[in-house]
Amino acid sequence: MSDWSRRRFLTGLGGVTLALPFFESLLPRAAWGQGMTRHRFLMVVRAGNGIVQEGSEAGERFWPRALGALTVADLKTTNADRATSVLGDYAQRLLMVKNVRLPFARNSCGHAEAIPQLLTAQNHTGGTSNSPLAQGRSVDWHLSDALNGAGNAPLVFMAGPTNTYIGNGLSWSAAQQRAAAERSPLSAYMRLTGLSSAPPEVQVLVANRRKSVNDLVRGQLRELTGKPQLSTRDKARLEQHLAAVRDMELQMTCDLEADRVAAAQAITQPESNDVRPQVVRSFMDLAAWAFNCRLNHVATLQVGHGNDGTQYTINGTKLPSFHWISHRIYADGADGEAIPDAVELHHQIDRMQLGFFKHLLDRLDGYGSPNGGTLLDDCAAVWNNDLGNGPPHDASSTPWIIAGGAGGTLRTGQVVDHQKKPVNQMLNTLINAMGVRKSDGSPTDDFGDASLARGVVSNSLV
Amino acid sequence: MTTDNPGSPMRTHSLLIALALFGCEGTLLGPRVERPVDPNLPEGAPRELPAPSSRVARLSHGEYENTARDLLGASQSLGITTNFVADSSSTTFNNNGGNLVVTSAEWQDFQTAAEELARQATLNTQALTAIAGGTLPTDDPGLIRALGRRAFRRPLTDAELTDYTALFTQAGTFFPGVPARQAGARLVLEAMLQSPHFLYRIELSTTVTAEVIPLSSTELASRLSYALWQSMPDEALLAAAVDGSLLTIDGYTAQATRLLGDPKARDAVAAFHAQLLGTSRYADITRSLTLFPEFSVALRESMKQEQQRFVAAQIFTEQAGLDALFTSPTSYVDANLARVYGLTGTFDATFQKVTFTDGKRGGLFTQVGFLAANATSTESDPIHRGVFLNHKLLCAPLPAPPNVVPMLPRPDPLVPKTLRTRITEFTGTGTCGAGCHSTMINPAGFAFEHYDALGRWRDVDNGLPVDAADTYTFEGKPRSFDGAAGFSTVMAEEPMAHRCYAQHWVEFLHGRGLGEADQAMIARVGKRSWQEKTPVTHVLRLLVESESFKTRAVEEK
Repeated sequence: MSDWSRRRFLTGLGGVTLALPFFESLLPRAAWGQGMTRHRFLMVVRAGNGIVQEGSEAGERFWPRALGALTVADLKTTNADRATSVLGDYAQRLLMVKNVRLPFARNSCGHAEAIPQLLTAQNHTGGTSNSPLAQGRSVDWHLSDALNGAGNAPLVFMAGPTNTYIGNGLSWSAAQQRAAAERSPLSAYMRLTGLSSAPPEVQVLVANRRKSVNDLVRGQLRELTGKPQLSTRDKARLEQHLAAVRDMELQMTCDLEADRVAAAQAITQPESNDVRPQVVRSFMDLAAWAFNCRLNHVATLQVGHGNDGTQYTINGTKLPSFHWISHRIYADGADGEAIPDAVELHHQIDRMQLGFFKHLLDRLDGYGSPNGGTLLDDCAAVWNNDLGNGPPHDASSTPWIIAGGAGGTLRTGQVVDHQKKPVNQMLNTLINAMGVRKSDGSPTDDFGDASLARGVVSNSLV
Repeated sequence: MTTDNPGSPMRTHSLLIALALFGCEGTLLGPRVERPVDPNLPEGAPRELPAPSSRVARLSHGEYENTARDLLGASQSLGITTNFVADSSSTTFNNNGGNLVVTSAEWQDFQTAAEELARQATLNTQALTAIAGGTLPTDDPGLIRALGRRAFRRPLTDAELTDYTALFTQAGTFFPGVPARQAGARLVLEAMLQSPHFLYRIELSTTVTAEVIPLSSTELASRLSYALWQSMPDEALLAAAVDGSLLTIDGYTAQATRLLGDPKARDAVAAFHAQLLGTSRYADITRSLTLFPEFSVALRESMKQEQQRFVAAQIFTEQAGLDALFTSPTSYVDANLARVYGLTGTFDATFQKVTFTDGKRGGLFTQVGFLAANATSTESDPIHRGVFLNHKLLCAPLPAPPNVVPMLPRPDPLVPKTLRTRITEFTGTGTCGAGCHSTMINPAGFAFEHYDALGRWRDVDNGLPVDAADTYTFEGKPRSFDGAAGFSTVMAEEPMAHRCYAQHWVEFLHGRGLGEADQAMIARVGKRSWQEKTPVTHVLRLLVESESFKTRAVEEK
């Protein structure tokens, strides 16, 4: 794996057989053309285990001291002791939202029941399992249909192991249908790159060959979907499959920078503990590049599994499991010895997580926008955590930080308290910021479970 | 009375083959029986109807890998799914095909894999002969039919033959310089391996007979092979499906027995136990070498090997039942494990069968992998050991834990206590945790207090004698024991564990979640396992020979 040159990606695996990119020209104009005059992009980065904020024994060490306007100087100096100061350079392009509540009561493991709600605002199947299922699709899939066109799935990334107590659960393609998450930046890159560097005559042959095969496969899928004996659920699964079958586009000219490719190639065991930061940053590189090249408009990145047990290294010291730190004891459960300085370590991890997020912002800010400004200005780059704090892992105060302004639709440069109102209003805000409306053209206010109070985050939209 | 013996009058029911249905639908689906019977069901016993299931169960990545191997006639896995985007599983087992989907990421993986497999399968005549099933037809339609029969696990329909023939004839333009037949076979295979008829196990039968929908013979062949092999039917099974002999009781039993005797069944049984016991977690075990000098990274693989070898030996070599899995004092140990077990003698990298004669070890749950995976990095973690056994091995109805779990109070250095004492004071009788902990979680966990965080034996904890005796209440019936071997024996003597084991097998063999309708079969098979110490291989036969396995529910899922 040490010599994964780009050319070898493209010609190595059994000749020219690699995956395809999809392109703006493939997207139905109607998808993002309904009154939308510019491309907008959403990326959500999720951390777990809560933050060090007021409401627990640890006290406030995360948010700026005051609500309201946010300036670079204020964030970097007055609030230098707060974790969010890591994002000081971007202060005026940030919308910080405190106290967003995950509304559905938790009867079982808090981690397992929080993460399915975070981007769906839906109830979950509950029960005693450690993997309750979301009862509806998540905002990334909702937006992907509108921004990418149906059948173009959002990018679903996870920096973490496959086999864990609570695995990936951030992205849901439909009710009770957990979206599989890509664990390897290298694989994700290969999937996105396709054949762009292959000789044109080869590309034409492959594209035509694939089209012949796809036509046949589409016909079979349509025939099967039409079988009356199939359940609604089976039909929906086959329709999803049918929408995923796409023909190849031949005009890709947008390359990821060589050093970023090298960074992805260097990660040979993406699920191992010690490369988690590299995996996080590499996925952020890929998302920013994919947005810049219009390969996709929506991405999620789950950092760590449900109760992130990563042993992060800070200042050269490999810490105990983050989940243990968040419980303040050397154990995942109730029994264990106390971890000295656990609150301070948790705070340091908060800073590290926001440092990851800053990497994303730097990447997005490094690309220009055809609308003037940078790609970040066209984005809503979101960081959140599916729990509010360490002990007691409260889910009524989840933190949200949105960067970028989404093409001028978000009121940035401020800190807002959502006062423990439900998360659907946060998601409605993001959907509207992306320019996606209800089918009647009115602003979106009804994403998520129908029982929740409609609306958006106050004073968040222009 | 059961009807296992060949002279049973029930066998005559098997001859009700309705070949009339082999018409337009039958070309696709194959023959079917009017109503499959369970030869093992006691006379007069109520029928056991199937639970609803998906008609289009997508192959799991494990099933895809095995199918690719068998399709190409390879001797071992090709690793074609290694870079597939991982499937998400919300259940104990990863083969719940009705929950698996194809989004653009999976579709790209399937496309890439199909192209690579087709390339490999058509590299030369030898490879092409293998994928055609061992005999290479000389005519092109014959070749397409042969490829389709194996890829789709049933004969092609005439319409499909026409479609693939058209593709075959186009292929030369896409593969310049490649001989026409090779190019044609490659393109046809690329298309077949991306077809829903390959990627899903499809069951389209609709004819309702006596409240159920009997599967057609080819549907049944796939269901059987994916249950017992996690892979496609081989030629013998497919031939039995096509000629209808699979629909006779003797023919079906012969195939089930043959499949269970094949090494591929050992792989499936190993996969079942690995998923049930969470063996993949062994890869994450890390211990301080100061506290646990016997630990090494290599120990993780040794732990996994020990479990696999033990399971295979008990189930296939010894033809033992669940009780032996829980209690057998034997195991398979290399030098890494021998150090943890404190065994004397000469051990090296090879695994030797050992018998523990001191009563300290017995069965799956005193193996170091299980004990270490269910421990914290420094402590024995009886609560999680207890919860795991209750959930996974007893299917005990534990309510959910409280939302906020308070921390165990820190130990007082002036008043030494065992972990058991501290947990009991915190969660035992008289505390708010008493409901679940005192009768279910704690006793099951305390049974293992003689094993530390790495699974080493210990007589003292925090300087005080270990107490591993307790009483667990099985369905209202208290049973006392002393230590893990004692608790494993008690579990094996109670029907609860046998029902739970049968329940997991139903889920795994069917590749779906459980339904209400499954409970009667689970109860019957669990009871036999408990009362008769039925060998596990026979438990599997009982399950795949049931009416429920051979039919679909009328209700769709």
